[in-house]
Amino acid sequence: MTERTTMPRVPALLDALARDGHIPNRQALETFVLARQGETELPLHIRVLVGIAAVIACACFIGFLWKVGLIDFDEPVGMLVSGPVFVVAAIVLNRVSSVSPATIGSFLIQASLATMVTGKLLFIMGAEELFTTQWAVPLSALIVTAATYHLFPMSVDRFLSSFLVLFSVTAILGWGNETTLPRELLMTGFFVLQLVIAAALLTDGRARREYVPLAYAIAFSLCVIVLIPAAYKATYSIVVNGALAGGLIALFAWARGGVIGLERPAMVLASVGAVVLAMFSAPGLMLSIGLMILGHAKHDRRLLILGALLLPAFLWTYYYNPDVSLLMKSVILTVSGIALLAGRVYMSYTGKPREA
Amino acid sequence: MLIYGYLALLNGAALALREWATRHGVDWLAPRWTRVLLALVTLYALLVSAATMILVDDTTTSMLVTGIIGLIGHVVFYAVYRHVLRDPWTVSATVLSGCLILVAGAYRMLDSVFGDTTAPTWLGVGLATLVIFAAAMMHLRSIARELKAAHD
Repeated sequence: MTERTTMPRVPALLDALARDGHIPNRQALETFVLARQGETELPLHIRVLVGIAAVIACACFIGFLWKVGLIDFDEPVGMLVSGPVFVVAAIVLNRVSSVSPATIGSFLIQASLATMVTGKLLFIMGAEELFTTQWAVPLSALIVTAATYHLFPMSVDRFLSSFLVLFSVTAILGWGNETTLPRELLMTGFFVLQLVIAAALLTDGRARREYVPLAYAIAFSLCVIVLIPAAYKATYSIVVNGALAGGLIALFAWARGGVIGLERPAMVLASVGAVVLAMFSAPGLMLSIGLMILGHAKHDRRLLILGALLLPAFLWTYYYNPDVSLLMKSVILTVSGIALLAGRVYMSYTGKPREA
Repeated sequence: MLIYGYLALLNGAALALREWATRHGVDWLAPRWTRVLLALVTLYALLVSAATMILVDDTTTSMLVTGIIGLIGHVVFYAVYRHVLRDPWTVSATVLSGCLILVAGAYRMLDSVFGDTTAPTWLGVGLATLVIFAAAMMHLRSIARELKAAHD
């Protein structure tokens, strides 16, 4: 399927709807759509470029500040104070970049993101040094992320900051010190909570566009949990698999326009497949399928790519982790491949790809 | 280090075969991800080769050979996907890889002038990173519309 057929352009869509008399006031609707669009974003491949530059530059700036003695890892208060100063400077740079000529603007965008990442890292490192609790990192990351989320409108920063918060919680629940509540209960609750929030943000049309990076960060965090054996083993796997299977079936219903859509034979088969995957304890496969369905339904290439990459990554970790013989692992992978090919043959036979 | 040269040649040959087959009507290779995947693994091998040649003090003959292959490979990649096959994602990946090589070059130059891990070196590499990537960003934005139109 070509990009042109899967990615309808908004102006063309509005033109077509207006031409057929479905919308009385095209201009008002376009204004509404533009208002919900939020800030103008850079293309994804340029955002990747900006993000990588920011990480490298941030590491260099922290190295420079450390060498000239402006930050001292034994003086956490200094880092706690200098962090917010960098954050404010980043916000100012970002504001200036939006009204600057393209040449200077490009440089200022890079500089603002690098300054923001530096400021946030300084604040988090300061908090980690100052407070003895293991929760200092996620709490300080949460504070600085929440404080800047609406003030600094760069989706790269929103994604990285949100993911840092989620990953630091995962790390503590997976490898940190024992807490009063059972580790499995906390990790499972954290996983299910993330699943529910991601589902709400990615399927509810009323969710604001600025929360899309947060939704991606949560989706990425879920992928990390099912991929890292230590994190996944710290959950009640039966609950996680049940939640993912239930979520997948709910996603089928959402994609087909309601629960009534589940009555179709193909949907029944897919739902049975989801339950079978849950019984085989294959959370990565369910999450991957869910992300690809969401990506296809929302015409969102990023979710499609994430889902498509999760599939081989999960199969790779799955292959190396179960304590079974190499022959049995080979059989599992072969049977998985046969099942996927059978699904494709079934869809080709019944014409389902054309329906999609 | 020769292994990275071999890897680049092997994956580059697979990519060239993919492009040739696609142009001759092999539909199952037509999806864009097949190109991006092969391009990324080839660029990775080219990047490691070129960056190693720049960063290592006493380069051996094999490092020199694979490093030159890496640099030439980047030029070929850019020329082909910018002017012939016109793919914005592959051009972006090539430009990103080229930026990393330039940052490695900047580090090497500053390191030889100011010394290893000194304050001016850290600051210089940080600023050089911003300048290099800002220039790349401007370039990609300037050609984005043209490449996208050609690709669509």
